[in-house]
Amino acid sequence: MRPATGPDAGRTERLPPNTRNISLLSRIHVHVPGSRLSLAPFVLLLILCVAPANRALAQAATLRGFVTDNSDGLPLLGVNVSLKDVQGELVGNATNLDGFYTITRINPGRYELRASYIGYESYVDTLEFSADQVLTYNIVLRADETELGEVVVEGEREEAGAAAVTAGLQTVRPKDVEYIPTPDVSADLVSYITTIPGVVSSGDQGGQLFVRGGEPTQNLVLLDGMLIYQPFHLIGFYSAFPVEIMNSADVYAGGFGARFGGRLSSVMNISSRSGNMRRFNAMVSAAPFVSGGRIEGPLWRDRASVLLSGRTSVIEQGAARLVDVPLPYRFDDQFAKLMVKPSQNHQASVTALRTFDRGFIGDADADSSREQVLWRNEAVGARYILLPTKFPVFAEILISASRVVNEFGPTGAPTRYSRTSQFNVEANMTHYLGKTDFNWGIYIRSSSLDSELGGTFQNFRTDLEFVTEAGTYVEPVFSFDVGTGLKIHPGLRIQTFPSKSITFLEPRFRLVQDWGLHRFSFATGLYHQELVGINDRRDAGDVFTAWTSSREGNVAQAFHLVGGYQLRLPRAVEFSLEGYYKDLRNLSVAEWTSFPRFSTNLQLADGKVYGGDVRVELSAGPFYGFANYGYSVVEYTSSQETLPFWYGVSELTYSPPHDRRHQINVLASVEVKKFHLGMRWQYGSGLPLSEALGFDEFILLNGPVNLLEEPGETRVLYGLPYEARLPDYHRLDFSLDRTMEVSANVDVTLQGSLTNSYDRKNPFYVDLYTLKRINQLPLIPSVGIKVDFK
Amino acid sequence: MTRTLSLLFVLTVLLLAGCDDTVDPIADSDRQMTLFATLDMDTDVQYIRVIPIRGTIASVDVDPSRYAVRSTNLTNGEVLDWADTLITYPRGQVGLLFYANTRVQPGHSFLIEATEEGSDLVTSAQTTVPATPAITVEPEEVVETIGISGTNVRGSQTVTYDGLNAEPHLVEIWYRFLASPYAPFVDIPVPLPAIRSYEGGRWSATLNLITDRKNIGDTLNVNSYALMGIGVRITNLDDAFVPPGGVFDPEVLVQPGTMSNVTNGFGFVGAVARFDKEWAWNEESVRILGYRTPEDLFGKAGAQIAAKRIE
Repeated sequence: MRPATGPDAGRTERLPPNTRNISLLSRIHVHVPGSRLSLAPFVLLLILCVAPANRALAQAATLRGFVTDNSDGLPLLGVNVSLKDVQGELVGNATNLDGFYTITRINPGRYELRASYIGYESYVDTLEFSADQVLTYNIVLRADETELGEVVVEGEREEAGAAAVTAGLQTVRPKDVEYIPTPDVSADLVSYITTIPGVVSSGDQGGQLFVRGGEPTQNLVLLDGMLIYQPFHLIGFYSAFPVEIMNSADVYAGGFGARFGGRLSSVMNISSRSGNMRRFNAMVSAAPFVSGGRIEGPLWRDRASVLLSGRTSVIEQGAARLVDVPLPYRFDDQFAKLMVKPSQNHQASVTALRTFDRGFIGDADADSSREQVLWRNEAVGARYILLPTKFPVFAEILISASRVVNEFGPTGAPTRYSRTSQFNVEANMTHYLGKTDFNWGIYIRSSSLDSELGGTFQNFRTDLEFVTEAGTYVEPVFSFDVGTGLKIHPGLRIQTFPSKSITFLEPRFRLVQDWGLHRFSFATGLYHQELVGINDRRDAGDVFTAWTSSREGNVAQAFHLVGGYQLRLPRAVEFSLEGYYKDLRNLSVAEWTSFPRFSTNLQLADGKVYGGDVRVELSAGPFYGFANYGYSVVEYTSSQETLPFWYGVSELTYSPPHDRRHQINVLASVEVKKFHLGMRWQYGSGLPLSEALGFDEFILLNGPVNLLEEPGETRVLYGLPYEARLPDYHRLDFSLDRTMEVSANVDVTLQGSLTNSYDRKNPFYVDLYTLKRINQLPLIPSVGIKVDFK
Repeated sequence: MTRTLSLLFVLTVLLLAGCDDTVDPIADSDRQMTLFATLDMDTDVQYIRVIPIRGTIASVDVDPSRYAVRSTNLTNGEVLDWADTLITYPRGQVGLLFYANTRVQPGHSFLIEATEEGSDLVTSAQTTVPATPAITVEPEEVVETIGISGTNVRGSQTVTYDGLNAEPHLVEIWYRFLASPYAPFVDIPVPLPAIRSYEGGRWSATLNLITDRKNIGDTLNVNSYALMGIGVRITNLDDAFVPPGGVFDPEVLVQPGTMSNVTNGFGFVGAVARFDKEWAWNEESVRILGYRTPEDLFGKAGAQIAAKRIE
């Protein structure tokens, strides 16, 4: 038995009157141009909601704290912490991403505390609780040296894994990501996300993800609470999130809760890893696509740590030469995180991320005047966790600034650019009220939008624009003893844009019912997106995005319905089934035109998305694998004014270019004699394509025209939009790696891989104007090395 | 079981590995040409632009000898084979034009057929030149003095075109002046009158002569010019020459098949006709309205010379 860590361990605190907090919060005001908005009424209302429940618990004690790993001082997720009274009755909870646990409604008396985690020695202590006591008790677990082999954390698999999808939510852990074969010795989150059914990627190139029918700009991507606008690199294997910096990722393909808003489609909420609190270690890696390094370690043992990570592409020097195919892409990313634990009730971290992408999407053989796309993300944020000594509350304050710059056009003279930034301040609270976790939060954010669009997209303003948004949410989680557990998450999000005088009320609802081996889940919600990303999806190679506020009050809106079922069979087999429906309104899509130009006016469209997924996951001894199938239908309906003249209809329903109807992903991974062999096969049915009948010149005959002087303008003889389909996409990848301990402090990992093993000529897109077909990556053999300094 | 599944998987992968991966963004079509033309009643030579539909956005060299255009006057049976020519436009574009030295008559219908060597497909279009309407101007006496003192003047004339196939595409009204018997005519256009109508092939407009006088006085020193007469011209298009929505919007018309009368192809072949009416007032009316007559400026002999020019 080991003592609790931290100077305040075991300290007992009394609950103070709530009134002191109310007076503090009443001073919260938000300044917006032209008005003074007070958030105090929202906060007051929320506290009043919570106060009765707090009083109801007045006699009960609360235990809470953080659980960390002795080896590195980092939080452990999914540790079961329980209290057993003298009658042998157990109460308990599991730690979250921050390693935080809490147990409420503890009657005064003597208890045995136990913290257990597979692969670690159990921690046992005896605690005495008095009435109203709020005890912060941090626990350090030590790895069980007697247990050999890889640690498999059963509690963790409960919520994570390829078949563990709960009402649209799939939680991804670094270990899951490492199973995916990539042409790099270090794994990347995006490789895993593209195996999720319903996620459609623009392919090996382009860096665009479409989640269950949503557009890339409708995905909310957060890293430690910071908004990352365009996080996926130009080469589809890479994102701003290498597994080296990743702690966990929650991917909501729909039906996300009230904490998240401002996007229509999905949420990818990624939490980064903190640096080792006990000792320094480092890693360097080299491979034909990317080389990189990481260093981390304590600045003050158990109090402060730092993690620095950086990668840079070496594609033109490496992969392009391997396959003798021009791959004119360059990207890099840098990540830094400073973690500070000043006391056991406080934690603070500062995270910074920068990414850079530059490439020539399209015909790599073209001359130097071809157009390049470039984007840069910059984000910095601070996260502060506070456990008020006298309240059973988990409080989180986030302050962040994010920025993206996007350019498109000839090198050095872009014809389009877009600069978008956001400053965000938010507070998220969880009150632990017995079987209810009462979550609520407030936020204010200000966005700056600036675009120069070269005379296109005429319907949108291109002036510098500032948009301020403030809001709040409540999302209690009620737990009931129905079956083996019923959790209901009703939620309400209120977003207001004072400068535009618009407010959205967004009800949300999630339900999870466990019944033995079975889990049923359901989610629904209403979502709005005031700030929209505009681009021309007619051109698959066009990844330029400009951000703007909605036009004339036509705010994009979505309604989600998600329902699912999970079954955990014996022998570590999991099965899940999920269906979904999204109703989309006021989407901005490109107007149809036969003039050969890459961008055009925008128009409004409505849409609907529906589909279903089936997933199976198997983990047996050295074997791990999963297979999934996704069916999805995406339909947009637009009502362009010219449609009656062209097609005799007032509305045109079509499948947008990301409508992939069928998807299959198969992954198999096996450990044999310290070798790890991975195989991944993916299949996607063809994406929509607009065929043309050919080209001619168009002469505007608006009366008598002198044909000797009027040459006409080149025209594309389009048929109906997106009536044809590209060929199916499929690819088989292999990887083989082995990690060798070359000394007590140095591990070397060697990896070999085959990407697109049977050299499938998967089309990225076909440039109608040049008739040049741009393929995805060919067969790429690759070797990589990684050296870990422990 | 596991082996069977593995075998099935391998077979599936092998099957897919060998499957078709070709993609052609150009769909098959039996349309081979785009035609653009306006047969013009007022010109001695008619032109038609023939644009072979091609598979690339870049223009390709066209061999004119592979193409032929023939017109048939469906009213009188006259058949003409048109001659070809390649024309280079100012920015270097090259266009294939066919032409015929012929005038088209009002009310006549024409069938234009274009063919390509080696193809049985005929790309064709049919158009009818608008027929000549009956034109009247009333009243002949255009000016009346009003008021007790007789100093106020009121004057108007109504021009009527009867038998039009469609509402006029373009209406032009002008006053014709001469600075000297041998000088070129000076035509001063005036705005379309507010009172005008079109119904059942009958178009009429009432000219406000007083307003016109004020407008002309703003642009021309009428004391230095003799008024020779008034003119109205209507330009009419054939019945099919009607844009959707009533507006010649390139964003609308660019869509293939929109406002097209071409069979087995794209584009449009239309016809245009112009119908003029010119007349003069008596000298008293000219003077009352504040203009100078030819005799006032050039004397009798000069006025006779000018009158002959008008004839």
